[in-house]
Amino acid sequence: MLNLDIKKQFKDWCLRVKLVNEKKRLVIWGPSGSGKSITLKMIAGLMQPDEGEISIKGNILFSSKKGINLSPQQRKIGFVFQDYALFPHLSVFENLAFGLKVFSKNGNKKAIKEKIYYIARRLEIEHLLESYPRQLSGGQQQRVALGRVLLIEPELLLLDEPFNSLDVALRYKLRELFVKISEDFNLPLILVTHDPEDVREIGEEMAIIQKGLCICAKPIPFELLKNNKDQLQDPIWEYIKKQEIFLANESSKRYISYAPKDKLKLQVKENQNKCSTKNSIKDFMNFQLKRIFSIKRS
Amino acid sequence: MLANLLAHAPLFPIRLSLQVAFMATGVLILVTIPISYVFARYDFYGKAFLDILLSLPLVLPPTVLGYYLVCLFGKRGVIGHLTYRFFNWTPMFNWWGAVIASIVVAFPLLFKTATSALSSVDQELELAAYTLGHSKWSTFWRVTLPLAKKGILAGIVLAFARAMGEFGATLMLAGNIPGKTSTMPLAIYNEFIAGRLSQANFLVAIHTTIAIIVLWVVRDKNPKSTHRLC
Repeated sequence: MLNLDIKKQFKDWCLRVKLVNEKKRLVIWGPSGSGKSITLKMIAGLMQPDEGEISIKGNILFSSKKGINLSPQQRKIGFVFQDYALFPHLSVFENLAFGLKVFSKNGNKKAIKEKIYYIARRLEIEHLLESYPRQLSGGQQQRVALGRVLLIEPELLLLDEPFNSLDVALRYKLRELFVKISEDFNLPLILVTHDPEDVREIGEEMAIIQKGLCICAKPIPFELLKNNKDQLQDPIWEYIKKQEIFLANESSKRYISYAPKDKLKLQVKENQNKCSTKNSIKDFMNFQLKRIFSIKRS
Repeated sequence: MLANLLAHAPLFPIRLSLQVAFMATGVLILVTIPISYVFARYDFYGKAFLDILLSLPLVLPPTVLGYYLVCLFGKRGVIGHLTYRFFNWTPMFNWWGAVIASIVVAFPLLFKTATSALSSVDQELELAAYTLGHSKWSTFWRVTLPLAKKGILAGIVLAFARAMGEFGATLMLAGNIPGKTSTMPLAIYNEFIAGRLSQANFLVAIHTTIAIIVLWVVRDKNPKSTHRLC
């Protein structure tokens, strides 16, 4: 479905994401500052990778080799931002109609209105259409943001930590809603989060991103889904830990083989703190080992 | 008494001042807002230096600005000699001189407020508009500008008021020719020097009234708003 192989060098760190996603709902899990949101922005075309390729269902969105880089307007990817990014000067109705006006140039006003009312009914926000974003609760804003992207009939839905500012009960309800919408509209989605509950409730596949490094997506074992055990003994935590260890092992193998030996020597000599140097791999491995020991002790 | 005052009222300076202020503000809107957008959204080499250069009229005395303008637009100036050679025209000693002087003096007021207003618009909203299919142009008109309009409007009002009240640079470039280039501030000076205080008072009152009306028109009607203009 999604084929992602991208690299981007920032001032003092590097993002390297390589994964193939087969299932409908992929969750990218990682701590804050690991590069999750940047990865989503690159998929949406809001940031450009230095090199690599992004394709969905065989359609290439970005390819440094082939010189392809579709604009965000051409990609038709729905993006629900962390803070929802609702336009504060527009009513809920106008927010919902915002993208529809572009993508339905030939559609008449009545059809547009019907579409908006249909989505508003589905998301239970019909009574809010005249309101402005500042008058809505977090959950209502979330639904409006979702409705706004659903109306452009996207081929992929990207969710950037969408439940961050919501209370637990509302999170539970909205997770169910997202899964249902994904099923009903046959809409693949990618969610980035640091909450393991999101992994369990929404994910079919999971990828871990750590310090800008993500190397694969794996299906989540069925027995881990919808488990209500105490969080400390929760198998989903164990699974995440295993994935982290796997990532640490794989990254040590793969990353040392990426850079030519001469270059590595040079980089170590210059003592540059870039991701493709031996130093940063050592740091990364040490970090992983510390984590593993702390997990064992606890 | 009012009829007598109006009969002898110096109406030309009022008309000229409004003409100059409207023309200068119109040009400023067209020129300054794109420049402010670039400053608010992009980083480029020499940005800090250019910012200082464009803000200079805020701190330079108007006569110094006027001197620079004469060097640029005079018959032997960098631009003036070209316009004189090809069109037999320079903005010296005509109302276009007053417009140019007003533009230069009022520029930083609109530039600073518009840049600040555009910078304060959350860029994530623009990104959201792109993913919803809107081009940069459409996003600017539908998202960025409506959200920055209060700040930009404040800048436009300040620039208009400054253009109407411009004295020093106008005197240097357009001169003080009654019935030709004497704008309201220059006319007030002329009437005051000549001892015609009733006419000077009339012009001062008109100037003050126009300033109050302008600020009243653009005032924030929502008393709860945190971004009030006045």
